[in-house]
Amino acid sequence: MRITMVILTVMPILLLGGIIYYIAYTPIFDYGEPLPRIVIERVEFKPEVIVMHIRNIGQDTVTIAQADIDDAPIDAIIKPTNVLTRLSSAQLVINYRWIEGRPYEIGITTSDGTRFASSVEAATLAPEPDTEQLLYFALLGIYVGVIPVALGLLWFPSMQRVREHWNEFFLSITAGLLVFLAIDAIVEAFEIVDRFVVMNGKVLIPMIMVSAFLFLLLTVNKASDSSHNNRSSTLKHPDDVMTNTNINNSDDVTTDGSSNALHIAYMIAVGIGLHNLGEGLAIGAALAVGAIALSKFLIIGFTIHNTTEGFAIASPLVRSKAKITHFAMLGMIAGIPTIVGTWIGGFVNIPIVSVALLAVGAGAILQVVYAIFGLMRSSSRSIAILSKHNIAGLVIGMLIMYLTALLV
Amino acid sequence: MSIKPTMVVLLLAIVILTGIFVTNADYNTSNREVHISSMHNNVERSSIDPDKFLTNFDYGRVSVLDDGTILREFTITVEDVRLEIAPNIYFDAWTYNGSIPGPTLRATEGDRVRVTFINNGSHPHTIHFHGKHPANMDGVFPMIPPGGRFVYEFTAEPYGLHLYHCHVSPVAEHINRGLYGVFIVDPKIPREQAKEMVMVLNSYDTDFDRENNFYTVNGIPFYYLKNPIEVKRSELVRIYLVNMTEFDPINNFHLHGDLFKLYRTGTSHVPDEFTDMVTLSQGERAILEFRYDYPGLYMFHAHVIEFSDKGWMGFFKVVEDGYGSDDSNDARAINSDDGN
Repeated sequence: MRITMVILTVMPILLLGGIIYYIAYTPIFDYGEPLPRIVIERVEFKPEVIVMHIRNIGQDTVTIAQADIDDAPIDAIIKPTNVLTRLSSAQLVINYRWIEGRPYEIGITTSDGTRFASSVEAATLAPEPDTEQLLYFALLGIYVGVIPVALGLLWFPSMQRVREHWNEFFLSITAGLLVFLAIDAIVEAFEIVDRFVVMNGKVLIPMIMVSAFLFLLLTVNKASDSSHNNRSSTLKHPDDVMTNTNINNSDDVTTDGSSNALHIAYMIAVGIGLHNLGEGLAIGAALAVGAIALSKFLIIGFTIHNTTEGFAIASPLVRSKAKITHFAMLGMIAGIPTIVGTWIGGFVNIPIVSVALLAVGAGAILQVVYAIFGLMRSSSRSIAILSKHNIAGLVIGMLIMYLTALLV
Repeated sequence: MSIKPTMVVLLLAIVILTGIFVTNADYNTSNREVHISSMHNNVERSSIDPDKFLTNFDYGRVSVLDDGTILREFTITVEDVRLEIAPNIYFDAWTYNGSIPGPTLRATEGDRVRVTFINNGSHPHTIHFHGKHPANMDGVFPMIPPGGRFVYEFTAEPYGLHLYHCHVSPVAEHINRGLYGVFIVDPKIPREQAKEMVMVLNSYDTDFDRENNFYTVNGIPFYYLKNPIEVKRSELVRIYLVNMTEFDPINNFHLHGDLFKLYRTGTSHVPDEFTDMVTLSQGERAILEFRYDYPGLYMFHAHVIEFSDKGWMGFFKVVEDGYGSDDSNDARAINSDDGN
């Protein structure tokens, strides 16, 4: 029985292997050579040297025959070899007295005469990961990530003083802010895919997003399940987690509501943290490749834009009695990833990493939005999530982000 | 309770990052490297030989007709060949007799020219000669299909520097692929004895975007930069210069350290200009005559810098009469610190 089972399982695989072999070696399916596809992943400007990182994402082995700067052939050293097998990468080193701030187009030509090029808006000395640069990037991360979130959290006392029914409105604004951030992350991820031709990137983005969303849903529910089980064994379905206050007796309402709110605040912080990681990546990468001339306006723009994130984290805590240490923790979870992001973006900058992190961020944020609706349902004790106020709040939240994003 | 999702997400990020670093690590561990250069590397295994082409004149198989006219018979075969036109760059060329440019045909004014044309290529082709001839010998009609033959026959006139090329539509494609050559008709009163050479200015659009990737003299970019053309001091040099550049409306020729007499289209014994610059539009040509007074290396190149950057430049090496080079390292010295 078991042997039959094994044979039945293995058989299709063997047959598939046979068919692949047949297709590979029969001349019937020879429709000419596949086109070469080279992606220029990164261009770095070092003193009198330009370094270009390339990868063969086509189906066949490709030989790099020539390099050029602004279309004029130039000598280059290619490491480890100019013959690139499928998916392998190489580094081109070109000795060139490039000029700071000038745009460049760096190209390569493969042995069949196809040229691939990458444009750099303004040549900037690539940051070397020394202490000074690390500190500079960290400082940048603090200004665009940590400080704004902390400032946003300072709205908390005033938020607490407004009447109770505003609470839900704040939450819907938060949901709006988060929806914007998720859309922003997705758009950014697609832009990177377009710019760097990340392998199957367009499929990868929703794939990672959905996985991150579901994965977080599961873990978060598990986590809250176990924390509630001590007090209430009535919870059976994961969906009940957010509405458990309705089921539990009235004594537990405040404590549970409070811990649930804190829980959501942490989730928002994590989601925003992931988003800020992506934002940091974008800033770091842009700095490293000279894609943006870093201006004070840009930093000011990011700072204003990100202040709203502190508000988003604080909003679910309005009716709870969270300790100050929690606020510090929340601020750090949301803000510090910006610093890490600028480091990765500036010194590593591999497009697919940025795409993956942005997609994870988007998935996480959408999961948080889902959780916020759960919290709103529990606090309002009604099913009318889609009230006029809530929709208005959501739209206002998105608009706030849109308008502050115009500053960037 | 709230730490868990954070950790999960961080873990996920770490896993992704590690994966990426591992896949990217391949070139960091190796010290191997390869130098790529169109300017300094040589083309190998190529059937384009600019040295040979420079001074190779095909006078045909000569016989005398009953009326005393000289008959020159040529055979030109179209072949599809993959040519290495620059170091490591292979171009699917269409050629007359296997190379780019095609052979330089040469006759004297009044000679009978008979060209047997065989199309062994995969597309219809023709040979359209510039010069005087009857309409049915013009090489526009008929188109010769793959495997077909045709005999072009006409009297070589007037004397001058002419050219031939395929005239099948799209003509730009057929020219870009390499179907052209030089047709010289000498005057009955011969020109002054000189060191004669043919220079065809051409271009290659290797990725077929109607913009050229390379510009050359006689088929290979930077060839005469690496292999300077040797001429003797005070010797008369005559260049048959033909512009076959496609896509760009003009090309030009600039000589260093000297000026030349310019005979446009080579149809007169009287020079049109005395200059060091000549600009030619597509299909235009001229004969250049000059003598160098001082030995040494002299550059010649397109004064369209984009073209010279992409391969259209070279050197004359002027040596004292009687013996070979006295400064053979000059070219190498100059070659190795140009560029940037």
